[in-house]
Amino acid sequence: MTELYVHIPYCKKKCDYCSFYSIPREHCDDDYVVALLREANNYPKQKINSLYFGGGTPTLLSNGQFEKLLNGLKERFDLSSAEISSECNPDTASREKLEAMRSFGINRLSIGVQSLNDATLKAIGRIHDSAVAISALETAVSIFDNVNADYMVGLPFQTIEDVRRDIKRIIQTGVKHVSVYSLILEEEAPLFSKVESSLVTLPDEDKQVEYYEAAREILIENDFRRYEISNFALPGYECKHNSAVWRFGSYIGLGAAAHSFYEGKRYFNVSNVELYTDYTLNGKSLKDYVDESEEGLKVDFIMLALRTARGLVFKEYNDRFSTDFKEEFKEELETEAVKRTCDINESRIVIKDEYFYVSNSIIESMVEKYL
Amino acid sequence: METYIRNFCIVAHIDHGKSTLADRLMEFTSTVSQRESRDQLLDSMDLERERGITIKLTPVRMKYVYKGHEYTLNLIDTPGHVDFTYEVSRSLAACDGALLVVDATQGVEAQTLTNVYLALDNDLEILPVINKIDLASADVDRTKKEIEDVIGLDTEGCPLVSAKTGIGIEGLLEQIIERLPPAKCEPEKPFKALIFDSFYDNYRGAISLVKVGEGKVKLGDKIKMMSNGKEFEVTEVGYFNPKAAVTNELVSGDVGYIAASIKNLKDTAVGDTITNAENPTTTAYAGYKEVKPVVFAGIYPADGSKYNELRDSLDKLKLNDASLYFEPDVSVALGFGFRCGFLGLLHMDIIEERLEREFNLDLVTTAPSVVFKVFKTNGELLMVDNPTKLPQPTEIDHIEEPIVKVTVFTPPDYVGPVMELCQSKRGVFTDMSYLDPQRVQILYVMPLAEILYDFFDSLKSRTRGYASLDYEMHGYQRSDMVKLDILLNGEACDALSTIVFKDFAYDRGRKIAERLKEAIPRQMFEIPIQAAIGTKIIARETVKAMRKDVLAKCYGGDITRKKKLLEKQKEGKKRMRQVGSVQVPSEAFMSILKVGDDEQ
Repeated sequence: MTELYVHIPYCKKKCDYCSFYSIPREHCDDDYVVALLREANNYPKQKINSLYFGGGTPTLLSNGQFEKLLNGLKERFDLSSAEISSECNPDTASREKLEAMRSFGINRLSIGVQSLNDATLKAIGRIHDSAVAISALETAVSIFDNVNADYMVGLPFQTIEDVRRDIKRIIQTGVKHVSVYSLILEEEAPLFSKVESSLVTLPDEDKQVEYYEAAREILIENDFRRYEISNFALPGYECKHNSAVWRFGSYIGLGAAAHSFYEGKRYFNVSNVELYTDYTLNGKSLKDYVDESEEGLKVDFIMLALRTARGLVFKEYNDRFSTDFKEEFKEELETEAVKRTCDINESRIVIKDEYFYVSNSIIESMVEKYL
Repeated sequence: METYIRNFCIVAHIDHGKSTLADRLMEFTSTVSQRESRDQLLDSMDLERERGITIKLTPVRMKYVYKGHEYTLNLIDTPGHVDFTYEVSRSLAACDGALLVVDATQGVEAQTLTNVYLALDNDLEILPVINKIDLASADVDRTKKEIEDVIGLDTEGCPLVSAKTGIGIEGLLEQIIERLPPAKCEPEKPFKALIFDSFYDNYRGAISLVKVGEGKVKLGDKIKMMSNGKEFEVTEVGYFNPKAAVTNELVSGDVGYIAASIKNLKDTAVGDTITNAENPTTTAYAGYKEVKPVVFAGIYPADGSKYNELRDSLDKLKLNDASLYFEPDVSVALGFGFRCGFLGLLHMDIIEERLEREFNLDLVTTAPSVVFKVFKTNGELLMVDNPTKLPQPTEIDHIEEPIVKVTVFTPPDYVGPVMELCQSKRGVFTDMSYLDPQRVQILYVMPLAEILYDFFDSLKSRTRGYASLDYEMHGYQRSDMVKLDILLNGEACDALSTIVFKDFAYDRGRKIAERLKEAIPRQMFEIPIQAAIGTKIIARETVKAMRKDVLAKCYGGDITRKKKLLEKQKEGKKRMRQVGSVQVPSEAFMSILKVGDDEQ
């Protein structure tokens, strides 16, 4: 089965920590929607396990655009049993909007809360405040069964009390899924230079872990399960879309800057809305691809699988690459770095919960020979 | 027979303007035009010019007309630093006189004295020259008085110059001719020349720099090396002006070079005497004492696969630096590399820098060690320059370590701090004298190991840079030494072991552990760093476990980013050495040395 991803690279305002491609707009262009459907024509009709609208800000699509896009995609793919998610910014989450989205077939909503401290929100350039975020969550929960809240640790002005209070408040709204991740600043992000020049200070490494632990504890107490490094869900509410990506499933990405993993190749659409639209509407495409080596694919497989609580299932790896994982990584599995930090049994290898924080280092030492 | 040749050198403390003066002499004798003149012509290595020091010897021939006669002035440039004393003594043997340059703003310094004593040992006529008289802070009278009081040289009518501006240079040239003795000239005797330096040229083979004492030599002559009897045919003779200039012959009194298709630099040993194979002289020159390295350190390629490149590079350096010693070595922590011997810390520094700069190598260097005499209980005597070679304590009867005579010149305000420093370094006070109201000479005897351990930097920081230092080897003394091991995650790391004075071991172990804690980045698990003597742990620090690396989302579009991150992480590991299960950055191995006692 295949996953489908649609990228809406428009934002009212780019957040200061973001280094992803988006352009500042109040609305999405009509011809971009047409282009998305045109690009979808390139793929044969097939059963889709999940559809995910990401951004940017997908909720900048008007109701009409959303409806047109979803109806168009339903014509081109079999979405009959698909999880259909959309990301949503709190300031665009009016009841009217969310109800309309529900009526077009969207059945999962992911809301970018990030923090419930107004000073923090302002410092990272979010355009909503905590009251708007809470109201968005409550509205969403009243309309959708399956709602996720994105939350960040390691933000300016954040304290451990903030984290505890915020996470509790978020759970209280009735969301079934919470993503908690720490702020990773890339050079392109506006906040990066502010931190570099000490205009803004961030909690240090130890604090970030303390905060994350605090968030994790509260979530676990409330029956959430950590099924991936940065994802927590009530049983049965794990995100199908991302789970499939972590299991090395193929996905079709539509839109400017969208990535696909299709028939063993990774494709990247041009990161430019105008170019993407022009080319696509003229029946051409501006995409690049990496024809990854077997070793490169192995790195991807391992890197993704070890991020999950399910871990890497040897049989799945062996079937995919016609090899024997335990033989292939015999030396690595014997190293201190791996033995201390992973649980290994007959069928799988899993990074221990307490070592999830240093998963990159563990994964790196595992796949070093293929990098 | 008296000649119109003057062979002389310039001796000075570092920075007193020796190389600038040499430049100016060449300019005034039209040896180089001002147009060609770039600063410090004789310092041809980039490193020499950048650091403002002279390492290798360069003889240059200048012509000057005085009272109707054309004189040949052979200037032999010499290194000023204490590490290169042996090079100085070599060039002095080729001279009849020496210019002693003293900076009028600084006065007599520690290394001025060393060089003067060397010159006196070689029976050279010394002409004091006071330099930098153009500077506002110059104090000519005081400098003259210091030269007279401290060194005992007459400064009556001595040249006052500014090498920088050219003031007094004409007068200096005249005094060189008037006051320095002419070279002896005995051209009828059999050919006899002293090799005072040699270097390797890819096209012409090993080239000897010589002073011709007797007879003459020309193209096609059969020559013989008196130490080993090997014979060669001369393919080229010449001198430097300062570029190499081919000439017909070198005659008694001349300084120049001889090429004779000599394949092996060992056949042009410095200090050897060259004579004519068919008409040989009867006695050779006394030659030089062979120099022995006093400081040893391990040098390893940062990238283990570059071992062969490192070996080739050391071989090439050795061609022009006979004092460099090295032999293959294996370290558990650092892999294959070399144990290298140096004349001192500066020499070590320069070799390292040349390897990195001229040969593009990335190196890991271990903390330097002196050579210990280890007397074993079975009566054997071992010379140990590598802590890992120290026998078990039960096999050791006692250990002797090299000591040095240290001379410090300092303004009186800093006498207290200097003495405190020397005492803290196990120094034994020998003497102190007030040279004048602004200058005190302090003499100590102390272990060379303590000099290696941050002495110079401490001295400079305690005296705000005013003190100058010199030292010379002064034999061995019995000391209570122990091997200090460093354990990372419970495993001893051989490259971090040092031999230290027992009473200092606790303190040093603690400081090394602290420093390593700073130098080793956090890793996936906690790393205990322990300092130990035998099985006794004397200090402990802990590198806390890394708490987190990256906790970001990972959606479909992030996969290539994530992979780049892993690649970056792998790249970072290349600068690290795997010691057991611990990643240690290359710099950490030198950090032992940098543990300053004066650290804030």
